[in-house]
Amino acid sequence: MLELQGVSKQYPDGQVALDSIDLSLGEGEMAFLTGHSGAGKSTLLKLIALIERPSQGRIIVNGTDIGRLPRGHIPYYRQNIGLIFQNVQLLHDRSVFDNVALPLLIQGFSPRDLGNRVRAALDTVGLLGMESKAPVQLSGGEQQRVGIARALVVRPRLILADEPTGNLDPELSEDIMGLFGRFNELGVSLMIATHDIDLITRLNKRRIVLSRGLLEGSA
Amino acid sequence: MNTGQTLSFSGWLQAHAHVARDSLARLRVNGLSSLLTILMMGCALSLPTTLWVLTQNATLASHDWQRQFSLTLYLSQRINERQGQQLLAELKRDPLVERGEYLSPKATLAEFRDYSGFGRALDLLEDNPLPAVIVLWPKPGTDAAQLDAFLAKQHARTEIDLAQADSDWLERLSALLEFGTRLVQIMGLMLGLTVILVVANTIRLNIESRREEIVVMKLIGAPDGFIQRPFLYSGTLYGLLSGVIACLGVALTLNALTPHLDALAASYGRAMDLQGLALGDGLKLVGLAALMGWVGAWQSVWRNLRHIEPE
Repeated sequence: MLELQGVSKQYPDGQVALDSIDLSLGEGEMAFLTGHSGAGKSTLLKLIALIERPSQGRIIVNGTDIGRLPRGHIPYYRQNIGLIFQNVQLLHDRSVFDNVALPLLIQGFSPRDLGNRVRAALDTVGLLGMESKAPVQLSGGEQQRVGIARALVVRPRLILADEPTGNLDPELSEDIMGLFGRFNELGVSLMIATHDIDLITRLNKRRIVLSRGLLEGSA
Repeated sequence: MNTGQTLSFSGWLQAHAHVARDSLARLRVNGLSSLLTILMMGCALSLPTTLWVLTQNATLASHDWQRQFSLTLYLSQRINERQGQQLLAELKRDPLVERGEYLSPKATLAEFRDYSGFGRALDLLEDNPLPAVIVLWPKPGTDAAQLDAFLAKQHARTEIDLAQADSDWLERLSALLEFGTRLVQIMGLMLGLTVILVVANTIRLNIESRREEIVVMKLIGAPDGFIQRPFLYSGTLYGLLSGVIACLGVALTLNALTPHLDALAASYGRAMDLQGLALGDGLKLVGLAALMGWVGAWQSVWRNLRHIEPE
């Protein structure tokens, strides 16, 4: 599904965020990316999402070397990845429904045909009935779940999540991780960056540990 | 990887209708500032358009004035009346000539007597000193250069002593019309450019204020075409509405000018029938304005959108 070969990232200011990372994530695999803050978790996810380009090395997603993708192909590449952020990045002038519908509109679904898929996605995250609300009317946890619904509405086979539970209380965090577990059972590959060690320990999934840009362990 | 849904034509149409409605809604949200921008663009467009309508009217009127404008050919004394009539018949076949008239020496003398007031003095002359004359009225729309060439040709004939036209007047008129037309072109170009720049700047501000939204859209895989669509719609809408405002502006201006033009025409002993902007031309103006709005928006989108990237 995903393979990193000798990937390094050095920022223009000289800071080395990632140093020769070799890593792979199998089809249908779920892995937690951990490490203290500044270890390079976010950078790694950004490289996979093509928000940043690696200084060295190759990243292969589904057999495609994404380092060779021209600029114009990046949007179509991203359409196939579910991205979930710590700061949810919802559009606050639109309803919950419109936020979740956006990726479908982008992919060219006609506004009339996407209702069922949007409601199905909202149902999955337990927010059915909230369609017409504005994001500001929702709690932090609910907003995070809208972000997740937006990521999964296009039925991606790879989900990347950066600290998806960073702002949530333990109970909500557990709910959301449970949700991810269920996607994984449906065959979705997930890479989730988090520093919530308690949660990871209980879920018993693969852990990829980064430390100062180096791969410290993968088990 | 899933390749997304292939788009049917009706789906495509629905998606565009969705964006168009959205753009209109945004225009309403920014009500006052949008209105001011559109008014400003409309005023800028109405200026050259009004001037264009006035030149069109003047050109039409000038054709009318030329109808009363004639060429005079003074015939040689050797030419008798029959030859004079023959010459007239020949001249009338020239494509420049609309109609003509032969005046014998007797007739010219009678006319001269009427106009000059030398009645008594003329009676003292034994011979009639006046030549026979052919008066020609050129076809409307004949320009000064064609007329000069025609006159030179007549002047060269042995039967004609002198060929004259009040062509100074015609030259001045056509120079004035030429000037008016050029002025319309230059002002149209400048103010058209102004409209494009105003739209470009407005759209740039729109893009700036929706920066976060654009970043989110890029993150979830929106191609540039999708992101720029609402901005292009907004720009086109700005242009379209400013075109409508310009049409109104032209109508109001012409309405305000009519009494003054009537008075001006009356002082020359003429009636002026001012033609407003025709429906077809009005639609062309609106279409052109919409196109300029689109161009402005496109330019702005092209310059500003690619610099906004997720970090």
